[in-house]
Amino acid sequence: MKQKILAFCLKHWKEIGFVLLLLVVFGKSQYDVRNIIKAYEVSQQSLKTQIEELQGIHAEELQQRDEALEEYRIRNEKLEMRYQDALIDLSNEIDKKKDRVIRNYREDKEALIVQIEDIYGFTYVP
Amino acid sequence: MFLSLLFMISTAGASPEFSIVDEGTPSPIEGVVFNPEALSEILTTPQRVKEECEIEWTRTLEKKESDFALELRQEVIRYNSLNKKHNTMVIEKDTEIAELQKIIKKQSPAYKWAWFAGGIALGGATYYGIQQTLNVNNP
Repeated sequence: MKQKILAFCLKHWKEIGFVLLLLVVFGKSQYDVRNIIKAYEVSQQSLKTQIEELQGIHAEELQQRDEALEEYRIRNEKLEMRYQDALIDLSNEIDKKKDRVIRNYREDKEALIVQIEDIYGFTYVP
Repeated sequence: MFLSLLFMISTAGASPEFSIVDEGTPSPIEGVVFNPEALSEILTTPQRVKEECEIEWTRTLEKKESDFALELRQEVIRYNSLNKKHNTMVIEKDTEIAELQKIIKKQSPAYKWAWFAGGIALGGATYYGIQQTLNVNNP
């Protein structure tokens, strides 16, 4: 039996070698394909991770921008309120000064004369 | 307007003058007469204009400061975000490259030329051995 197998192998060694070579090539190609698939999966996973992390960073940036805009809006509202208050205070102060001028006209003309001279530098003619 | 009126008080072109007259009494100088309310308006207008101007420019400056502060903060936020994105990309790419390098190393082991030469030598030896065997068996 062994002799027959050996004789067969010796007779068909080229075919057997070819089949073995085909098996090796097939095995190697499978191995290569598995490696290519693995490389693809690694790239895919890396891209997924990148997208997730970039989305997280982007969301954080948007939130910080919203906070900054909200603070800006509040700051401007306070600024506007201060401006309106200052105008009201000035208007009240000016009204008081007008009343004082009118009072001085009636009660203290000397003070009124001094005031006109101080403001405009005009000369008083009695 | 009121200043021009006051300047017109003196027609002689000398120094500007003013006087206080009661109703119905003759005036020592010629000119325009204001009642106390109009006079109070004239006397308070310079201060009012000055203070309104101060309030206005203070408001404008503070508004500009607020605008620039917002702009600066947004730029800082943008910079930090880009920096984080850059670092994240670099780390992820480094990881990916390392993984791919591992795979490539499996595909192309070290001493590949030695393997190639060994394969040729082994193949040649096998071929030679088989040929010799055939020659022995079939002289």
